[in-house]
Amino acid sequence: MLENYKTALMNMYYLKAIGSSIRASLISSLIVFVIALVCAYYISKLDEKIQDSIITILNMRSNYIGVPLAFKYILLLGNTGMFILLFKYFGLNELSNFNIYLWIGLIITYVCFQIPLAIITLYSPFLSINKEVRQAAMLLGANSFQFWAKIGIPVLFPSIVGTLSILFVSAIGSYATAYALAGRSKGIVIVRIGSLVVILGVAMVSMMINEKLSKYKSTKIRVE
Amino acid sequence: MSYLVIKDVEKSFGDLKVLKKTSLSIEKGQLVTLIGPSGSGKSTLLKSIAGLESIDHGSIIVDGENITNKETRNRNVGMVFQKYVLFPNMNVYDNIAFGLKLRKTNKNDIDKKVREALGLVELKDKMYSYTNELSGGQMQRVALARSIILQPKILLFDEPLSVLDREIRRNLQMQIKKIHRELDITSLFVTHNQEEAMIISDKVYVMNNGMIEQSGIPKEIYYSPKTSFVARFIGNYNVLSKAVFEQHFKKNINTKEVAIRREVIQMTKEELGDDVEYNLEDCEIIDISLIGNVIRYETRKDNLTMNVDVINNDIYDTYDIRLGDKVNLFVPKKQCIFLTA
Repeated sequence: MLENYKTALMNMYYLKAIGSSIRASLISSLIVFVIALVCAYYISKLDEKIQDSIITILNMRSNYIGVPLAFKYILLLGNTGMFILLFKYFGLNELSNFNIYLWIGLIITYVCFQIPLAIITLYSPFLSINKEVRQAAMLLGANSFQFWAKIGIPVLFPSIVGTLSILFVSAIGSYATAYALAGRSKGIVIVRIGSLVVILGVAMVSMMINEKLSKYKSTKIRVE
Repeated sequence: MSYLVIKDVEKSFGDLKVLKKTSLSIEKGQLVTLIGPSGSGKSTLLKSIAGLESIDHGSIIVDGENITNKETRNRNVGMVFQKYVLFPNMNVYDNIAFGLKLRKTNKNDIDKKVREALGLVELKDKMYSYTNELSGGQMQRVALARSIILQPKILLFDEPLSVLDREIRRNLQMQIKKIHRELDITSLFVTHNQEEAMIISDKVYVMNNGMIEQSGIPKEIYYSPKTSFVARFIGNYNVLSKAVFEQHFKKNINTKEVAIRREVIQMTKEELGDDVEYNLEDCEIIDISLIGNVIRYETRKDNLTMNVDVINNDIYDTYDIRLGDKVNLFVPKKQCIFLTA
């Protein structure tokens, strides 16, 4: 088993794919985290009914992933995507040269599908440090800095670590979106693993067919 | 001069005026209740004292010092909220010690004071428990200990018992009363529960529609309401307009309304004597509710509905009073409160 790791980690082809995937996942996770942190904070300050509605929509939105999501971005930002055509029409050459099939496209897609998920995971801890908790701390003599240092950040910390981990794992493990956008041409580790699994699957199906055929052949010979 | 003086305080949220020239005063060491229906402005007034809401007009003076524009954290005002507001990342000990740590109090002093406060709220065995390991009543006791440990000038309670069940609420009412007596902290307690106000307070302020309707000791408020609102809200009185009273009781009066407490009305199926001054004959029983130690009868005669509370001691069962029965009501004259406002 260790031999397999050795093979994978010594092979420059795989190493490059691992490195690229980690880089793309880290960048997208950090961007998502910052956006989600700000959004979750402000959502927790809204009226309860509005909060519920937003969280319901985000829940629904966080399940919109995979090939349909990639297809949506291809329609919007692909070579003949709506926005690209609009940029060309308005003479915005820099923007019209945008290529969704490059790494930047993959990162944008990751960011878009992970934001709802990250807001949902960060929203709950923000609720536990609601207005009354802040007021209670103020009444006990805390200023804003002391509140965040002694209550706010310690309460949020486990969720921050958890959310970052979920974002990173979900980005690096996302197969369908990555495959739909990058195909096999990009060095993405999950696509590489996927292709090995497909090869293995094809090999297994071939072996089964071969075995069945062999059995059928031998039975036929015996009858004859 | 009183210890806490609130003078002509006004506060609006948009077009809605929540406090309308509200004034009240509390003597040092008193436990005063502010009672009123939802939306009457009592919580807003409390938050204004704490500095959690700014006021548009008026002044708040504590111990001779005008704190109207002072920052919340410098007011030395404690508050126990309606919701459970403990710091979730800290255990009971650290929650209570929080304020003292901010004041850079000596570690040994903190330990001594926290243990004393825990003793007062009877939670010594929960010293190292986290908030998710406590019941609602225990959380409110921690919040109380966290406030009293700083020896605030004013201790504010914003309906802290309203979310608790009846039994725990009663225990905590007694505990708050006992702690107040021991520490002598000037306290203002907001509630919409009449019974709670009567049990715990030295003085009651009844608030309605952003204004103080009446103030006085609990007994005074209960026995001598000055307005129909106070009569209805505090004493569960039957409030009759002048026209209705004169029509049914055949007596002329000079006031706008008459208030009659439910429990002073006597009810019988027998004929009333001629010497009875205020009587109402042939009232139909339209509802009977068993409320623990009291049975409430709702009676009606034409356009007049009267509620009668009777001690639940089986006597009326003996009289066999059932729905639809006709009864005679007798109201002692001295129990009629003639309302001018």
